[in-house]
Amino acid sequence: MKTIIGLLIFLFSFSALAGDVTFTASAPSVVREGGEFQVTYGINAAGGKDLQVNFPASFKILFGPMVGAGSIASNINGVVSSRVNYTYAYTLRATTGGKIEIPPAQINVGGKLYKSNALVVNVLSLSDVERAEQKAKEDERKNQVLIRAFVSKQKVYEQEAIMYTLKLYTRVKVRTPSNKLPSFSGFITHEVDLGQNYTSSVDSYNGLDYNVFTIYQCLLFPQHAGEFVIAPTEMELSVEERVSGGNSHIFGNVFSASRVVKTELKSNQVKVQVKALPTPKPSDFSGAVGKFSLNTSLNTKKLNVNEPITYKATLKGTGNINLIAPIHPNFSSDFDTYDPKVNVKTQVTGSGLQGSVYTELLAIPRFRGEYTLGEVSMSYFDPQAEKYKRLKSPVYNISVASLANDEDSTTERRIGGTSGVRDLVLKEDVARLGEDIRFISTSALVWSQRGARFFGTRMFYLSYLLPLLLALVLFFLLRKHIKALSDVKGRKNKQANSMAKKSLRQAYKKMKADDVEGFYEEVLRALWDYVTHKLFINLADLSKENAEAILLDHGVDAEQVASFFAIIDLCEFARYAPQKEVGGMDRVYEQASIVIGKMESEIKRKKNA
Amino acid sequence: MCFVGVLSCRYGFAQDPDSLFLQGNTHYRNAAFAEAVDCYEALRKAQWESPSLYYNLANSYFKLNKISLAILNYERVLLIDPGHKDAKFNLSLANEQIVDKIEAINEQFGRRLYVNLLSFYSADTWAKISISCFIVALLALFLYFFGKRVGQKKAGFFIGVLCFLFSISGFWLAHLSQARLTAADLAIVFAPSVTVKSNPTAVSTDLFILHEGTKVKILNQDGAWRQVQLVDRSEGWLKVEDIEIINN
Repeated sequence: MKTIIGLLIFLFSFSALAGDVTFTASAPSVVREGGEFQVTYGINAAGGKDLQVNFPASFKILFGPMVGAGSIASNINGVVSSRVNYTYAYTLRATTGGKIEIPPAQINVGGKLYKSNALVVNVLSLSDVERAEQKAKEDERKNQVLIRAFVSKQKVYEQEAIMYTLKLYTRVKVRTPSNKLPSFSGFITHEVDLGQNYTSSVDSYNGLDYNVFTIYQCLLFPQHAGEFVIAPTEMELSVEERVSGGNSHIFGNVFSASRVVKTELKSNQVKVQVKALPTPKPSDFSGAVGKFSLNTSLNTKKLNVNEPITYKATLKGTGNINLIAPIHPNFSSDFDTYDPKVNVKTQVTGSGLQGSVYTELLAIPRFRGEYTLGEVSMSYFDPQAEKYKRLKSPVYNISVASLANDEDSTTERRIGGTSGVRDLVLKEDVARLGEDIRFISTSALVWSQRGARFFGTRMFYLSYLLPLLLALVLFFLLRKHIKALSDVKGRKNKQANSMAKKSLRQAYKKMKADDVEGFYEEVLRALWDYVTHKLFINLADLSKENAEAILLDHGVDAEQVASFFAIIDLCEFARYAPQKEVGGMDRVYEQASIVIGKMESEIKRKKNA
Repeated sequence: MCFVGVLSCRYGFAQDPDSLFLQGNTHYRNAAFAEAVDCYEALRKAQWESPSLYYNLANSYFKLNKISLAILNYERVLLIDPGHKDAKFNLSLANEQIVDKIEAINEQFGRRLYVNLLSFYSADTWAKISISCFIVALLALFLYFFGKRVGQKKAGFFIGVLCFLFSISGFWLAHLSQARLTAADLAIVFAPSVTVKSNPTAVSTDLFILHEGTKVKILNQDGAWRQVQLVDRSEGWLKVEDIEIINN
């Protein structure tokens, strides 16, 4: 049967004898569902390229195209001719039943496109039993190779490492796996070097025995809390399949007993639950999770200015050591520090990354003094103990001495001399280290209530009004007094007597002091002042001539007037013709007093009458 | 202890502001800035105010990196006490942190003098000074009328007139000072970013964008819109909910 068909195809290719290029497609007309069959395209010309085939979706391509070439030379009656024949064969599997059409394929030969014929394949549906049988075979095929993904732990803390392992389970020979790893978002990965050869072991899974190869491993450090789903890994590999009898294809048996099929595999997805680190986190915690120890040292504690001092710190442990920042002590700003040398060594263990971070820091003091290198503290989280632990470096006291002799001092100058060597230090600007807002007020001093106002309130206006009213009332009540006060003449009138007496007293003093002229002056003044004030006469209006008349006019007794003028005359006479008459002044004094006294009582009497 | 502290911070009764103030200061010293804010805000809610209160509150907000609130409170300090050096310094640091860089036109010397004079005393103090001068004027008038000697009368007259003039000045200063403090025309932008428009409607031209922390002066209002002016004299309209008025 097979050979007949083969021959037929062989003969078909002879149609190219005519010189035309023919492109033909051929396939079996009847195939069973799930069965494999071959579709072959033949062209009787060389140089074919860009073969485009268009198989319907229900035909799954297992293998192909397999290219074959042949040539025939013939000598018929002396005519020698040869022709070539190229074939392209595809191995397909029919997955569904029915009459299925394969559209024409196309090929490019010498710039010309040739189309093949279309084909119709009748796929016989399977009965249920047959279908189940076929499914079992399919599953078995599937179960020949598996990939499984594992994680070492499914419940961890943030930053705690888990190991992700991919294992290939196979019952057949496989070659050259290439994998597409999941993205591991939310994790930091640290790949594990597996070496050249994959380790293998034997394991059974779902009742079948497999050879197990570990093909990929990496450490995953979750960067935040939550539930993580690691997507499945996809892998493409070539699987050697043993071809059994039954649904075999045409050429297969001839060439090999097994064939290599490309298979796509997908691993399982893995869920990891990451717990958040407990709060509150210590202030010196910066993400280290695991178990660690710290060792620090200084190479010396006593040194001179401009000499180097080395600080070494070694952090050892297991955990996310590759993510820990190196230790940095705080040298005072009087030290010049240089970039630290950091050495990180890690190796992968079952529980994570084990290793050490070695920091070496060089510092040079520029000024002498006693310095303290404060402790460096670092907190880490121990996931097994489930709590934070702190590592501290000890406090170091460093004493820096200035240089003993002159030789190479660049920062210090000396004023020489036999005695009294003085050090001078180069002056420097005050180095600004940072900027911050000024401190708070420590006392409030003045408190007030918002919205509480005095200005503009009723109380405020009342404070004006009340004193004003009070003042007005007082003014009203005391208006007579004011009037009296402003009555200058009236005041003078009332005070006339006392004023006169005062003047006379002054005169007496002058008399005692033998001031003759002064005495008479005072007496005159007393007399005239008395009269003018008492009688409301202006002094200006008064003169010796009209005085008598005016006085009489004002109701003064003629007798009083006479004695008044007698004294006046006496005083004036005595004044301008001074004679030292002892007792004369006495007499004048007495008389003046009498005259004034008399006038006073006379006026009073008149007033009261 | 801490819980009690927080609790008492929340109820700033108008009993003794100093104790609550000192409590807030203690929180600040211990770098518990959120608790310090609670204490100070409680005082403010109880209607207490003082330049020191606003200053400390602003410092606490600054430490919490809430720059707009810090700027708001520094401005409150300077409204009451324009000569507060520390508030001025810290405000300048805070203004370095805001996004908008606006070239400020320097305050005229005369204006600065005027503001310093007004705020030398509070409005109420000026009022009390005015009243005292008035009373002294009345007493001087008494001296004028009842003084026996001419010297006394003269003194009474001149002192009376002088004090009366002082009284009027005090009244006027009190009035101006009060007007300045109650004029609610200065504000700080609180919205992270706000587009200032040419008209008080949403469909007008966009003029410029302001970010939080920028100080504006309110010129006019129209419904929910406010016409604002920047320190460099640019003007535009924005919604009242995007800004926070300084003396509120």
